[in-house]
Amino acid sequence: MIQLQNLHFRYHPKRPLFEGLQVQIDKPGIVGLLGSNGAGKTTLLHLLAGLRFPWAGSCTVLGSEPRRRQLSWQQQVLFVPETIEMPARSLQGWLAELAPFYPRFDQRLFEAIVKEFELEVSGKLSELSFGQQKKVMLAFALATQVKVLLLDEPSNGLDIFSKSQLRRIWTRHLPEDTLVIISTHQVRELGAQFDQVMVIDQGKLLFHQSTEVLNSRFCIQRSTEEPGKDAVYYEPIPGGYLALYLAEPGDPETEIDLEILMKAIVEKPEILVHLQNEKVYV
Amino acid sequence: MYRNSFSRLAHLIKIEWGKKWKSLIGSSLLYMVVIIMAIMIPTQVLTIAIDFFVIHFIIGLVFVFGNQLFLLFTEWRSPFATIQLLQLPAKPIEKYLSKLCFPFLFAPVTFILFFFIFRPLFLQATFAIMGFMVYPLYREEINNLIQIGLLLPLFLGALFVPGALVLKKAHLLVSFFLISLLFVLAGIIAWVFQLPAYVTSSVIDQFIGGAIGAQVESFFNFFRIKSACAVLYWYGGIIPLMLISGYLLFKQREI
Repeated sequence: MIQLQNLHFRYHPKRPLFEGLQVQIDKPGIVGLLGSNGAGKTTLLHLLAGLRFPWAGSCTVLGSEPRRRQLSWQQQVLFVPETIEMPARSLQGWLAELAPFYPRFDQRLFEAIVKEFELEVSGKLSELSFGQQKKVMLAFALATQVKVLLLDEPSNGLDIFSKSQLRRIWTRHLPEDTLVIISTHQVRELGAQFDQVMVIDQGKLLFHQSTEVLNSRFCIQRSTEEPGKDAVYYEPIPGGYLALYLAEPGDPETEIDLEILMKAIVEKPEILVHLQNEKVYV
Repeated sequence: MYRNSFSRLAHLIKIEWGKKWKSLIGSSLLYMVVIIMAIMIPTQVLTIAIDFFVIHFIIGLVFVFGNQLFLLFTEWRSPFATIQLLQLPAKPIEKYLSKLCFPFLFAPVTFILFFFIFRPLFLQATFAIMGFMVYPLYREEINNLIQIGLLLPLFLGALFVPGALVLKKAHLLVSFFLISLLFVLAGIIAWVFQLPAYVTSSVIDQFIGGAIGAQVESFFNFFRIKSACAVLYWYGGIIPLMLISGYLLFKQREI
């Protein structure tokens, strides 16, 4: 579905962001795109959406180059930015403008999602709060039923209840053939939804692996005593420690804490070798 | 869902109309008020009574289409609006045309309609308020004004299109500065090399004066139907060049 080969991109001629980036995503599902500030997550989404163009290398999404912005391609790919500025239009007026451009747009699905978000839109969209505008935009994005949905920090601006609503909505309404790439820092809130995780740092892909493999390669343990040297990484938490260990074949599978994993990779990049092959233990 | 370019283009124009109709109608109406106000200035009787309508037609037209030109691609001022426009599933040419038809088609047509609908009122007003009748314009003059009204925005506005595609703010000002610079440079080059398009009867002997004089004369020749072909030979290439380069810039536009 997505293929980046030897992709180069830079904002400034002397400061490259991506140099020879290689990414391949073949299956639909939810991909978590993680990385520190300035790693290039949003830029990568822009490149995939055809909103920025690579300096060199190839970028293919659904078999087409995003920079060509072909009509049939644009009907299948949608990017939702982090900052939303809805127009001074009524919801119905705004929908009547945009929905006809998306052949798979489902009005009933949109209404169902808006209802699940407990949104009541009566006036102009621009008068809604930032969180409410974001909900409308996310509901629209899901109702378009595009094949590739690119979301930049979708849970920013949403309250605690809305975040859990969002997780529930994804589980319930996301079409099976849709690939969703979510760029986020809030891995504890959204991490459980990811089918795959992709981490970029300093313009390079650190790893791209399914959560199934991650869960089989590492395990998380809480303890009251300070973990020993066999812990890859640990940090103090109220009442003890949270530690990340390398899993051995036969170990019970635990759900990985992506935040701990990210910190561990930054501190000990050599553990990436445990993610090199696809083979799942257990 | 729209299956062909015409229905998609019509829908895009409808969206644009929703955003711009207030400024379009508002600026046209505003200039009608300006004309009424101008009628009340007593010096009109003695000075520009004969050219009154022609002058106000040109100024009003430039005001209304200039306003639409200013609003061309305002999306670039907001990252969200830019993203929305660029990723909207429509062909680039459809999006481009839906934008251009406002300064180049709807603005002149709206202004011409307003002007000629209000003209009887202006005539009555001048008679009632000032006690004299402004030269009313007759059929041939009206036809000429309509031709100018439809051509002038395209002729002048096309020069500003590439700037509107590239610049986020003050595109009219920056474009105007660059065009003025090119205008003078082209005049100097043409004068130095004695290019045929610039050999006019009134080219005078002074270097800068001659160069600019030739440019200005060529510019005004545009409005004389007889010499329009000669001027189009020189300027006719610029309009398609500007519009096509604008389209290519739009296709290559990033956020």
